[in-house]
Amino acid sequence: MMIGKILQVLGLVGLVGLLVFFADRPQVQAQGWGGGQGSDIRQIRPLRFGQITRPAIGTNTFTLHWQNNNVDVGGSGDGYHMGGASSGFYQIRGQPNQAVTITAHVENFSADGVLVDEIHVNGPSNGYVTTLAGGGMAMIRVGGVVSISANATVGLHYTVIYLDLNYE
Amino acid sequence: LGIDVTNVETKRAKRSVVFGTIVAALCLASTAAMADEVDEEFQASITISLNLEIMEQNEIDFGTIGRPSVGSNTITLDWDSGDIEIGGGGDAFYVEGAQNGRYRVRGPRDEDIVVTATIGSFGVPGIEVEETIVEGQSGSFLAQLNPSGMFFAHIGGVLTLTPDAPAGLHTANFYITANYP
Repeated sequence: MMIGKILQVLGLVGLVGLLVFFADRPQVQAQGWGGGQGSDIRQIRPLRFGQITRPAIGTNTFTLHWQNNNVDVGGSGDGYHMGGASSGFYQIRGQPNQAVTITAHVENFSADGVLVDEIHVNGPSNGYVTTLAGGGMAMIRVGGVVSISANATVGLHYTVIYLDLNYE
Repeated sequence: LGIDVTNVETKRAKRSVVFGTIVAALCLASTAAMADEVDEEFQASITISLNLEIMEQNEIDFGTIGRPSVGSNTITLDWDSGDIEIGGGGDAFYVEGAQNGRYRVRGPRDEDIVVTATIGSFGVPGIEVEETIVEGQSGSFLAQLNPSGMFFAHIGGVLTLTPDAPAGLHTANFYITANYP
């Protein structure tokens, strides 16, 4: 009888734990730690393509370098980069000494004439493979390429960048 | 009766064991899934501004000038007022019709810009363009677009007129550019 009550209590404790587990999952935030259970991604600095004057005619590409915040302009238009760009900077916290792949995806801005062509994570592709350090940390920088056309909608636009951390 | 009670408790205990095991498995499975993958989303931004645009509002015009019969004169079109001032040793005189140039530059608000202007050659003897004046300065002017993204550039210039200038209407090209410094 006593054993039965103990097991009932344990079952209830497990159920409560499960509810708490899901209830306490962090909400997505632009700042602060995300994820849970020890593997997290923290934004140190947001990805900003900066201020761009749209071309009067034609199209320009603007390449934001992941490692140094520089922006190169290409294409046939007369668009101009005014400054204010910064590569995204994120801190990964996970299981020490584990190999991981970090992948980034960016949705297009909801503005005419503004396209995200490429996204770069610590290199020329959107994926980066590394081994977390002994403290379980890794840092990543994110850049990319956007195309701006003459019909680009003037104003400040936002989009979402998704960062996925996968253990190998 | 006591035996029956024991049986009920045993069944409850078994159900509890099964339930607890399922809950524990779910927790472990969830934990394992979280350990293998973390997906997060953050914000990225971009600001699109208008490129610099120039629109002519007033064309530059030195008006009608009576050429000197002897000597030479400088004809200065004031960049701000559009008035004509005549200097030099000749006897040239101003008749009418002069106006300064006025050009609207549009672009990102509060941005610094450089406006550069040049009056080209009239292509005839006796009329030489000495200087193009932008907002009181020779050739170019560092300006700032106002909070509405506008700047109005006023243009004047200086000509030298000599007796061999042919009578009639003469035109020259005018070039104005706006850039970021």
